[in-house]
Amino acid sequence: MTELSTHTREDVLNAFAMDFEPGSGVLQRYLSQYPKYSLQLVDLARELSREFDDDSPLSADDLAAVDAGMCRLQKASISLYTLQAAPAKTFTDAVKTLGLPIQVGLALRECRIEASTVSSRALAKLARALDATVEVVLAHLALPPRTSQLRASKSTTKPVAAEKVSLERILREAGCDEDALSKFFNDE
Amino acid sequence: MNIREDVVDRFVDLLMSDRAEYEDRLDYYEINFNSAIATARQDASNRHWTHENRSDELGSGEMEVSEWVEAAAGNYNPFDADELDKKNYRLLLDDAIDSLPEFQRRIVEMLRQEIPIESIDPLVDSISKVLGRTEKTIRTHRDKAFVSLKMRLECKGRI
Repeated sequence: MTELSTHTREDVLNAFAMDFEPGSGVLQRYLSQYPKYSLQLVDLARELSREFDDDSPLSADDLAAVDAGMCRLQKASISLYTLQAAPAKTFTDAVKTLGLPIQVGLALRECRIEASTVSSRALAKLARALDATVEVVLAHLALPPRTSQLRASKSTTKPVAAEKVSLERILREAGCDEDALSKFFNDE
Repeated sequence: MNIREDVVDRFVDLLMSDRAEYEDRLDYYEINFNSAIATARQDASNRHWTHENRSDELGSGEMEVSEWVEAAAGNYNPFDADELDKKNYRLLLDDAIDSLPEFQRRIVEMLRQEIPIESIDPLVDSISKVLGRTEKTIRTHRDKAFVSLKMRLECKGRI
């Protein structure tokens, strides 16, 4: 077993999963070495001990799950989880294709835009630009607002709690003029 | 979204992420797919299981051992080597273990992995130490778990 000196929970559990052999004392060794993850190790041992019935044909539910996964891959739409973990560039690139300032991309990433202030047409455009579905973008916007730690640390002003604001306000604060606003909100 | 959908969703996320840029987390799936899925499934379970699902009827933690439970458990051993040789038994046992409360499930899993209930050697981790309960409590819940497993497996006509 490799000792993971600067380990994360994920490192330890992955290493355990790789080392695990039922009844071989691996769990005992990991419990001694990583007591803070003991319950997770026991639960993972349970999953790793599980018997798979590879001989049975896939059920209708299994096939539906495979189809849904393949469908997602083919459509290449991204999930809420991916959107949450996506870097700022994903958002700023997406809004650039719509001719919007990067502030909108950052606000979108940080869930600072009040969803109710985004028209369904604008929402559909944003979703398309992000390769996501409208439902995923809405679910993302519904998450609590947050601020970028990196940008906050570079700021010379005192940090304040993030809040949701209207899309229009973000556009105005980014310097969009009336023409640009009108174009974005009314353009088909 | 249920646990299985969550696992599938995250796996597809990794595949999609790999399309855009090399995704090293997929290496793990390539080396040992079943272990990677087991880890993903455990993560998903942690996210999904509510406190209500986890209720384990622990009570005071120092309850009296019910004579009935002790008698019913008897010398029953769900990990009998002869039975474990049979694949169908292992599948049924897994189902039965899944039905146990979380506390009992952990005890059973540790027993399966030959972790002692109690140890006088402070360097050896015991079930009692990992779960932070007395030996007596662990034994009580082990007996309860074994009775449940025995009844479930008997219902399936296995014993």
